Amino acid sequence: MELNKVDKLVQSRAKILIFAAFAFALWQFSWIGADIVKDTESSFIHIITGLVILGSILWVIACYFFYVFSKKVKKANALQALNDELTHKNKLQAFMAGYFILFGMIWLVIPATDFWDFDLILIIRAIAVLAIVIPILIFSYLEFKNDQGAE
Amino acid sequence: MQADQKYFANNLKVLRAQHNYTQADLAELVGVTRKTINTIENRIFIPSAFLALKLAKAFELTVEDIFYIEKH
Repeated sequence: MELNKVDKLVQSRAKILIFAAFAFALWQFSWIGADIVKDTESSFIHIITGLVILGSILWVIACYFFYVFSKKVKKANALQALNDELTHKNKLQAFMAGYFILFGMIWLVIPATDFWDFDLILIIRAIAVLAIVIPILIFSYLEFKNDQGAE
Repeated sequence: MQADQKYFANNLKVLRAQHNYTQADLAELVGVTRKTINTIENRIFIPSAFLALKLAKAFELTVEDIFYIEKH
C-alpha cells in the first residue's frame, strides 16, 4: 500500500519525535552523570563529557528536523489532518501516562529519602527529563499503532 | 474504552467501496489522516459528532445511515 503525503508526514513526525526524545535523554542524562562524577577522580569523566557533547549535537539536529518538518507540513497544507481527533486522543493518553509515571516516581523518591542519602537535585532533574521523554515515546508508539487492515 | 463502545458499528467500508474511495481519499475529504478512518472502521476509535457529520456529508447521507448500535 502506497502511503499518501499525510501518512508519510504522520510517520515522519513520530520518527522525529523518537529521535528527539533519544537525543534529549542522552544529553540530559549524560549531563547528570557528569555532575555525579565531577567531584570524583573517575576515568569515565571523558566518556561522559563526550556523551554530553554528542547528546547536545543530536538535540540541535533534532531541532533542525522539526524545522524542516514544519515547512513540509505547511507546504502540504496538512496541519489540520495532522492534528485530527485521533492525534488529540493519542496526545491525551500520552500525557496521562506520563503524568501517572511522574506521580509514581515522585512518591517513590519521597519514602526512599528515609532510607538512602542522595542528591535530590539530581533525582529531580532525572525525573524532569523522564517527564518529557516518556510522553513523547508513548505518543509516538500510539501513532504507529492501530493501523491493521489499512487500505 | 467503555464496555458498550464495542457495539458502535459503522458502514464506512461498504460506503467507501460503493463510492470507490480509498481510506486516504475519504480522509482527505473530511480533513483527517487515513489512520483515523482506519481506526473508525475497525471500531478502535469513536469519532466526535462533528467528524461523524463530516463523514455523513462526504457520502451525502445522514449520520444514522453510517453509524449504528449493534444489537446485543
